[in-house]
Amino acid sequence: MAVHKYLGLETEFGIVHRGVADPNPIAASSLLINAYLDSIARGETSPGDPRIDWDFESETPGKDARDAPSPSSSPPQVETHLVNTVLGNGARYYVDHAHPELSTPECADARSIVVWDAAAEVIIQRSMAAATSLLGAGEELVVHKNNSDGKGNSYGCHENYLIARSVPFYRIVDHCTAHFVTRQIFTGSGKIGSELPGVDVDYQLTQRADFFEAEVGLETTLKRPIINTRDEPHSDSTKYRRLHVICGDANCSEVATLLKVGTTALVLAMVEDGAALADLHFTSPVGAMRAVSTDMELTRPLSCTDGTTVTALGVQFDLLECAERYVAAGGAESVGGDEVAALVLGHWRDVLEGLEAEPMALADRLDWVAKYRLLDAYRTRHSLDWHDRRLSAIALQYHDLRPDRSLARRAGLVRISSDAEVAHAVEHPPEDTRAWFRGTCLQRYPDAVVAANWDSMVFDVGEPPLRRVPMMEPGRGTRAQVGDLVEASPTAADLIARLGS
Amino acid sequence: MRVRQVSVSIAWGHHLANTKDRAVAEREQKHRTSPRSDAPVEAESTVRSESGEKIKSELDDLLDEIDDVLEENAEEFVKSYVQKGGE
Repeated sequence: MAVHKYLGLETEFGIVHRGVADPNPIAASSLLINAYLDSIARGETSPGDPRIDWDFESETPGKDARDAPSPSSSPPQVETHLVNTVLGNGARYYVDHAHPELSTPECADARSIVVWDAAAEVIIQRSMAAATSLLGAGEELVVHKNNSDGKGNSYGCHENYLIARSVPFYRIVDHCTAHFVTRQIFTGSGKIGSELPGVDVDYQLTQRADFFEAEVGLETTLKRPIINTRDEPHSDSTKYRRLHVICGDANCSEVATLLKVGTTALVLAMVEDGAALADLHFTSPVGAMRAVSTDMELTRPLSCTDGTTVTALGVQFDLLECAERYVAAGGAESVGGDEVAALVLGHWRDVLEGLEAEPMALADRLDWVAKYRLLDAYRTRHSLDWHDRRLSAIALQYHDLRPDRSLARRAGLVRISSDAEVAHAVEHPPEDTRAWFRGTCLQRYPDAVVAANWDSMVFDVGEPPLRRVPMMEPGRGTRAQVGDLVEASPTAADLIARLGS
Repeated sequence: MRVRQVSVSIAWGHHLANTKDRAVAEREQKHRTSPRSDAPVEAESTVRSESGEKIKSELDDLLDEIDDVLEENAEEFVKSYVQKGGE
């Protein structure tokens, strides 16, 4: 059976410092995060989050999943001097390049991702309020959950999936390429126009398709590939890979987030278990990516190397039907169980059937449709051209995370999480992954945790040496496994003694 | 930070008889106790069955609301919205 599909999202947000002549996005991102950490330390928000530095011991972002890395590959640089911390809910909150970035804790299923992604939005909202209260009159930090400034600059929402190392990487490349190109019909957050020269469209499905130029590669910032080959498992590298997916949009719609992550986890589980998936090779995957994104009719034929053509909707219906058979045959466990699988499959089918019949009826579930509906109605009411800057302003403000400004919040999107679950997730880690151990130790033993990262924590137990606790299994360190033990350990020294015994 | 460290050897959950079963049971328990995720979907199908007129009037209200919440100087704001590339 496929290894459990542990999941995570890392979202880079757009940031603006308003009311100053010469805004610095790096300083603004640092202020945003530090203001939040200070508000916690003062007890204004969630309890118990100490300021713990991220531990870079096991970071190897330049390592390539393919055997022979391309000579043109340029691994990303890790910026260790900027604020970089881990929160009591197991998340990582940091400055990456010139953006605030928040990585969810490891989640055991797509529904949990929806909840902790919504919690990330709440954390950003509290951060904005805390930072703005420190600024002068007329100044404000504004954060957007989007992927492009509309002027050719893009930043990512990356997905992470645990997969078995035993699966040949080329099989991942083949099936994921077909999925990533075609899933855009429900993952897109919508964009006015194109940021590519010579492409003339009023509106397209995704924010990101314009920025992909290669099929497979290690880069994330230039010549971006549809399949990223970064080989940095943050777990036992003899057993696992972490598939790092960089081509998706950040979603405001919870249904879109559920489907983006849930369908991909199912496709990966099926690849791993050798399910009978169609062998599909686009003549030009990069061209197909752009063709799908710029086709609001959802009918454009995509050429395959065997001389046939397919449509994005057709490929997705095939994948859905394979997934329905796979789950019916008992495949749900590795994606979080029958209930989550049914939730994902149900929305997947509803959305594909809706896209086939009347896409605009999905304005309550898909970002690109919700946003298009607002823009088109506003455009019609005021007789505007698609190039009108008022429409650009509405499109940007769809992604504004300030509750009093966000248009996505006003678009009538269906919720999957409840407010109570999200409030809980702001302060607590998921109970069913190693994030529980990380978040709980940070809250319970704040003075003893020296550093933390995805696959280890370092404790000061009061006498040398420091103790590093390896966490190489994302499914180990759950509340069920170590909850009683942590409960029985008043100090970190007790905990380490009990864990090692 | 280059302080001497030692790794603690841990068999996660070794004190439990069958951690795999416990983890699965915990997940199932969590989903049973989570708010029913199909509740909003039922609400949504009700919305869809409403008349086109109602939906149109809701959209009109939403457009009015957009005018209210749209950033002052929205056009200037979007013009000056420039981000650095990321990732």
